Amino acid sequence: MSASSKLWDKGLGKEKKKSNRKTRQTKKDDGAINLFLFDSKINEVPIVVDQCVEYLEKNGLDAEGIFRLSGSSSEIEKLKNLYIEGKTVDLHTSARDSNDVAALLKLFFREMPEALLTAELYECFLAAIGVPDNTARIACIQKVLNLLPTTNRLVLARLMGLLNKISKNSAVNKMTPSNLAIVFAPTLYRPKEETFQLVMEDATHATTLMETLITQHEELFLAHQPEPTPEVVGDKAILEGFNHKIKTGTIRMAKKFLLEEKEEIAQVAEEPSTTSPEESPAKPHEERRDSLEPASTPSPCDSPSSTSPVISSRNSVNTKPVLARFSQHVAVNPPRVAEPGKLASPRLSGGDKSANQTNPGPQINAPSARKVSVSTGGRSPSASNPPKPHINLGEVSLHKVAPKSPVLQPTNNAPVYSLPAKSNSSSFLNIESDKEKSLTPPRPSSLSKPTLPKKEEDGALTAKALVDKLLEGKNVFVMNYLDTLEVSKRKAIVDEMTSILP
Amino acid sequence: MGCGNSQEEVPKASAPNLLEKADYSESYIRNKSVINRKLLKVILLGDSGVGKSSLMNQYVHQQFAAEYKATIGADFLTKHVMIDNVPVTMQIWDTAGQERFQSLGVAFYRGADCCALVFDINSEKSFDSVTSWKEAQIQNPHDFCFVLLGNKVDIENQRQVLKIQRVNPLMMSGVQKESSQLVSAKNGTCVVDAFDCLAATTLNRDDLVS
Repeated sequence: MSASSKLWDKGLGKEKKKSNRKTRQTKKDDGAINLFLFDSKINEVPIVVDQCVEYLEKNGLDAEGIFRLSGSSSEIEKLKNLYIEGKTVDLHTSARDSNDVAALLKLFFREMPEALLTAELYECFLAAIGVPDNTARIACIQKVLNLLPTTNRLVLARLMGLLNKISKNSAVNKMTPSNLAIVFAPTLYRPKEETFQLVMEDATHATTLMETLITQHEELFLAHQPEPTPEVVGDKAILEGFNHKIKTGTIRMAKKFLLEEKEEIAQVAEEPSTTSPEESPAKPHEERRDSLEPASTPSPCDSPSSTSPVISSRNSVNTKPVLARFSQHVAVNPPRVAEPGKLASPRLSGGDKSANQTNPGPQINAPSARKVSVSTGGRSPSASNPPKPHINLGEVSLHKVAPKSPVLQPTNNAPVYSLPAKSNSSSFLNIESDKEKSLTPPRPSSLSKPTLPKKEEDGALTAKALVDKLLEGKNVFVMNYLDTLEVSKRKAIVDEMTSILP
Repeated sequence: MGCGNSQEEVPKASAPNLLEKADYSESYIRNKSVINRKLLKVILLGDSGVGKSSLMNQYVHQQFAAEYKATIGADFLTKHVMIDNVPVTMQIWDTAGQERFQSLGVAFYRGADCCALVFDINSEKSFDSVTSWKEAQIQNPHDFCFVLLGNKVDIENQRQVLKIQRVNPLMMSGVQKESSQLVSAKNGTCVVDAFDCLAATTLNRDDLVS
């Protein structure tokens, strides 16, 4: 596995726990899991993709016409059936033809119920590719990429990593970025209702998009960029058009998310004895302890032993990647790559994006306070100086409210709770960063702190706030939050969110 | 995209006495266009990389590009020829060999008169897929005239050719065997011949049908 894919995989740990409940969907009667079915909820690279990419990274780079030439249909069918039956497949046999593996991978993407780049974002990508300025175009594409569901983005990053490698060896394999793009564009990028004419009309753009994804792989999927500055972006009319598309695209994605969530709820309600109901009642409890931790222990750093077990028990897989990330890119970059989920995509919340959002009265201050704290926290907790008013507001409300209502139960009509919950997070972080200055050296537990606020916020969020989160592209956050609720509450809030959505 | 209006306009000539000269240059045929001019839509099908685009370019432009380039979607070129003293406009459709287009193809085969199934004589695999291209693609096979073109005869290793020629009659029922040829898009071997031949076969067949 390459360094690049490893980097991405680190972000995966975060959502791994979800795979249990989600993969149930694809289980067949005999309990085997159909591995040849793209499950957008697993939040990790599907096994087929993983194995094929790994194989091709080793054996496909020198093969002339790799991905362009077709494989043997009988061999592909055989492999496909093995995956469908959920069997372990060993691709690394001596007789294996890399064209077959490449064709299998293409087949997997072709048979996805929906294109990897999603039908909802079809027009967004089209608008992004229409931006003339180079840097601006990349930034726009990046923006759209951030709207993709986590699984899709992970898979895309992995695939583009492979294609990038192949194209760099095009002197041998003849597969230039443009050739690879032609081969993959119609498979990965297609509209909801596809007609021959439409496909032909957009073919050039689709190919350009794919070519950009391949050639700019590093920049789009790996690099730790600063937030794209909207000023750079050039032509206003074009940009406005793009922003409009982005807006509708975001709403579409949110709708899609809620629809899926409803299906999920319906499923959970049907079979109450399986994993997720066990999970969900347990979580709010831990949640409570989590969020109250800073309140009951005024200086969290004094009691690392009590803090960290809670974190790890709640989300043990989560802390590791975060730690790894922070030790790698210590406090220099925004946490973009390590959290490929929409959790921390500060770029989306910045600039024109936030202008689109309408916050309900009592919450107006809270989200902005949170945003500031999260992004600065991600970059360098000790170096930046967060706005004081928010800190004070947070601290005050934290001490006032938290002890009174020790149960931060998620309720639909509690803006009172939601405010302290949010300010709580920011203040907690700020306390933390102040403490950091005096308390050397920073411990691993404190390194993981920047992710904590997100969880603490789970305490109580209104449907409106959740919708805002969705529109910020923070699907994973909302998903995790909804997971902590009981089924009935979850259903209620999802319904409410659906009605709020523009 | 190339699927726009690249087809040249057919001038409406009034004179029906078109076949007075024996010199049938392309411009002559185009200019001396007539009422009984035939339009022949030919589609090229086959696996990626067998040389469909190259064949088309060799036939229409007498050129071979060494560049290794996949085809985006589909494209077509036209060529005016005289077949059995009848002016014919050949509209040759080159399709992307990507499997993905198998499902999109239907719109594109509409109105086609002839379907040339192309394979690479050095790749048995590409020959094997010819059947599936033929069957999967064509909704109503009886409307088409099929011919088989084995490309890349210029390449030395021709062992598979013999094999294929033996298997050919067994596998490819419904194919106009007399028009099926081995060609080379690279050096032009038999390319013109093959296309003229398939045009003639198609026309004869159409005459028989009507």
